[in-house]
Amino acid sequence: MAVVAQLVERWLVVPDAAGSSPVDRPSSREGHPGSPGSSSTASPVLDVETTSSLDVPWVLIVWNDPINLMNYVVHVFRTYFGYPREEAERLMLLVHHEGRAVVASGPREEMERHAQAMHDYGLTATIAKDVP
Amino acid sequence: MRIGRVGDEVRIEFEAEEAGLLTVLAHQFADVVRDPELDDAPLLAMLFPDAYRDDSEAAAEFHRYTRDELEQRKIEAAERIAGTAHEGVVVLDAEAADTWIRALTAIRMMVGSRLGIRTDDDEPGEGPLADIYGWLGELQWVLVELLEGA
Repeated sequence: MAVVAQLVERWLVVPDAAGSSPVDRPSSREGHPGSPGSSSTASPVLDVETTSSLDVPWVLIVWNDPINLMNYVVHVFRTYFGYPREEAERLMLLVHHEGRAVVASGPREEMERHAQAMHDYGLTATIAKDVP
Repeated sequence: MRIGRVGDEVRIEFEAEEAGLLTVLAHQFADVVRDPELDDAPLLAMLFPDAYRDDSEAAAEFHRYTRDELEQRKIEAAERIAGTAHEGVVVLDAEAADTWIRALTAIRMMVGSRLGIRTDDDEPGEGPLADIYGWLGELQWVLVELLEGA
């Protein structure tokens, strides 16, 4: 992913507006081990979601690319999948450092819909069988 | 250019040449997607990647079902930029700003591809096109920051 290190702050002036506040910069970059939909080791009982994901072992993988900006990838993960900011940042950093990350799992048709949506956003996404 | 957020809206104040540049690039992008040439293959591979890496048949079928709609939406998003960028203050609501950042990714892929950026290690280098690429990245970055600050 591309990192914008330039002094973008120089742009952050609101034209023709009074009483507006400056932009919040994301301050937290720490990873978050918990994630929605991930299997929890706390409960011995399989919940419905876990069971169904065993029945339909397909995953959506997002791959690193040299164009997309880190904050844009977080924005897509947050707004499209509804991930909390910490989880979206954790997944983005996985993509950035490991080259790819599994961002969703479920039925094949659903993963194909997600893949089309990711391609619409300009992210490189593939579908694969979830091989344990 | 100055940019900021007022309530639910993003406001960008463009110089004439900035708005003109965005408009030209957006039109170029739409033209490339509509009528690509042979050396646009790397760009098309980024814009419309294979959805299956180990199953060419499934990848081809996915392209058959999704390519037209993806092309249409990317062209529409770019044309949205071309239709709204102008000298002076441009006001974008949340939906328009989302379309802009989506289109900016696509346009940056076009410019980055011309600069030979294929991996994270490739640098845009120096020159007018590299400056444009850097400028587009800053614009997209700030737009996303403003949307994320909501």
